[in-house]
Amino acid sequence: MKAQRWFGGVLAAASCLLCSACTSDDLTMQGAGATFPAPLYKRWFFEYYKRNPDVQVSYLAIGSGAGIRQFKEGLVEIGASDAFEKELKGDKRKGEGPFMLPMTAGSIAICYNLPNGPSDLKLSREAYVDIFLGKITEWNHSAIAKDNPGVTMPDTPITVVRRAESSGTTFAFTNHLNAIAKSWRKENGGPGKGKSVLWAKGFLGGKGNAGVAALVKLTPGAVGYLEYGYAELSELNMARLQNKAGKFVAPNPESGLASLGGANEKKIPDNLHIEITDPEGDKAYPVVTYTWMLCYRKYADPKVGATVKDVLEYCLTDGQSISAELGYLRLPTRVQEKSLALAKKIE
Amino acid sequence: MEPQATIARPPTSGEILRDRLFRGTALGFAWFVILLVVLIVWQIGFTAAPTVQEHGAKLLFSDKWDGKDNFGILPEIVGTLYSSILGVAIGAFFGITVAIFLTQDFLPPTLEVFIKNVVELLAAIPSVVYGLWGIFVLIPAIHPACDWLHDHLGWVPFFNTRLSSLGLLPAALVLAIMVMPTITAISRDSIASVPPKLREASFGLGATLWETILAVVLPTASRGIWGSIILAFGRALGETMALAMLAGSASEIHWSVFAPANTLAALLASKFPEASRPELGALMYAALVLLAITLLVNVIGALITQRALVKGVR
Repeated sequence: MKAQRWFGGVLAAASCLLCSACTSDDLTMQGAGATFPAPLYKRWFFEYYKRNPDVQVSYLAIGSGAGIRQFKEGLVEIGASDAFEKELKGDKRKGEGPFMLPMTAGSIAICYNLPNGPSDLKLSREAYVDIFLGKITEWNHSAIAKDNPGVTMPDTPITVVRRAESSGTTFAFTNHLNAIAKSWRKENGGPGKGKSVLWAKGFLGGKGNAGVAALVKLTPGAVGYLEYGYAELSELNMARLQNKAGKFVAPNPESGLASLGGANEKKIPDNLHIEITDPEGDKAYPVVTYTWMLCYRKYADPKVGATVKDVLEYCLTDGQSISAELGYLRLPTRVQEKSLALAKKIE
Repeated sequence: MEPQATIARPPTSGEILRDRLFRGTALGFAWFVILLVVLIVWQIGFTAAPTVQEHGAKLLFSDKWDGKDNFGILPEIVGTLYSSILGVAIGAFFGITVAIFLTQDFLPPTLEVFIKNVVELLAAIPSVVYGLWGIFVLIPAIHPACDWLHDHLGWVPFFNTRLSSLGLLPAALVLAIMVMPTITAISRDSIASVPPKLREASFGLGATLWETILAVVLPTASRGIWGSIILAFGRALGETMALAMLAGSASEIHWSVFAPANTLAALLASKFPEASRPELGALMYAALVLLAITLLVNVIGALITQRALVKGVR
């Protein structure tokens, strides 16, 4: 640990030497974690830098698990994770009272590659649960065909693509499946929920959202789950999923917002651990997830604390309008207010 | 006539010092390398220790990995060996063939040098490039042939599943290309160093060119050829990026070469960045297993080479 800090110090010193405009007032901070919100976080930190050129926050998209680990080891000022960590630990030397703040949210799309198939496939709850359980193995299965009248489904075998590594996206997706289907639950012999689960045989593993997107694109008959932003970026077909109200809804910013707001906004716990596993409402897209930043209630260095507070305040106010631009969902008002109130208490 | 002054003289103290210094430095570096290996093994073992204590050898025989309680690595062990054996077998066939072609006067010498350099250039391509090439060029290219094999020879265990995209075969084919330069370069050198007298004697006894190559040249060069294969096998076992991209990251055991698979190195590469406590130990456990397999292969390799040598002398 000591060596790591020493090394970090050397790195910081080196980067300070490299940057010629460096004055003693400049502050460089390091954030690391989830890949899913990375484009948005980087944009936020960049916009913040444009407003306050003496504060530079760099963000490393190394994955939720690694982000939590680096935060615990005191290597970063801000961590980020797609999955909520109930017993979050931090490094005493960095600060006290580690906690998590929801920053943005996103939908998870089920993407598919089906030559000679429809481009707006509808999947019922039973159908997509059974596909990811490995029970439905061909595209012309009656459970899929019955919701897509007027379309001849090809008999292409289904190849399911899932994440190869432990992932926040997998957690959000399996969390939803676990909530809607008894057969998915562990006690019934299903895979259950988690950042990494025991999938059925014959599935392919892709690394990262980008890896899954590439595999779905490459494999005829493939189906996989992706964060909406990545799905749109890779121009894959996205299935309309049946929501709790029984309606088929395509993933997009409007349906995502419908899942976060309205009746789904009622219960917000004090620790802001919000999980919407099966959103209500006709227009709600069924698979959405929040994503969190990890920070300290009281930073060891007051200057760092004040800056983190300022950065987070920016992200939670003006920054929210950038979310939609990049395919993310802005926080619903009440969540945003609560989050902001907590951010303001950072010292 | 003056007796010629002898040129022999005792070494000066400066020369002795230089000699000692050189020997000392060389010894120091040799020990440093050994120390480094010990340090690496110790570090990995230390991180793996909790997993080893909790699960013992059970993980070697389980095929379940869920990242929480189950960390079976049997499919990865099988996948590592299967892909390496297949890849090296294909690579060795072509590699040795090229080596023969480049040494037995089939070509004018300038062309020989040219082809030799081109083959060795293959070794300089980064493995991530091989991975991308495999995904975007190789897989679409072999797909029709694989489908045909599955449709017509599906009863053969090696072809009893359909190739979706990633799988053992694309991984093994790319491995074959990656290890070929190693095999070709070393085999070529050892075939080229077969004494010309042997070849000439064989021709003199009335053997044809092919009889000479198969019965005289190859057996004489067998030590170097085996050595090249062992080296290639070592590389194939540890190859990471291309396999992580092509094998399919599936913890499954199949006979079929079209089924998705996984290898130990690919498992480490894909899971490590996201892993936390219990999983981290299991990954280190997998790393230890990979180390053990590599060591075993090298020992077997050394034994084979030794036997080949003894035979050659006799």
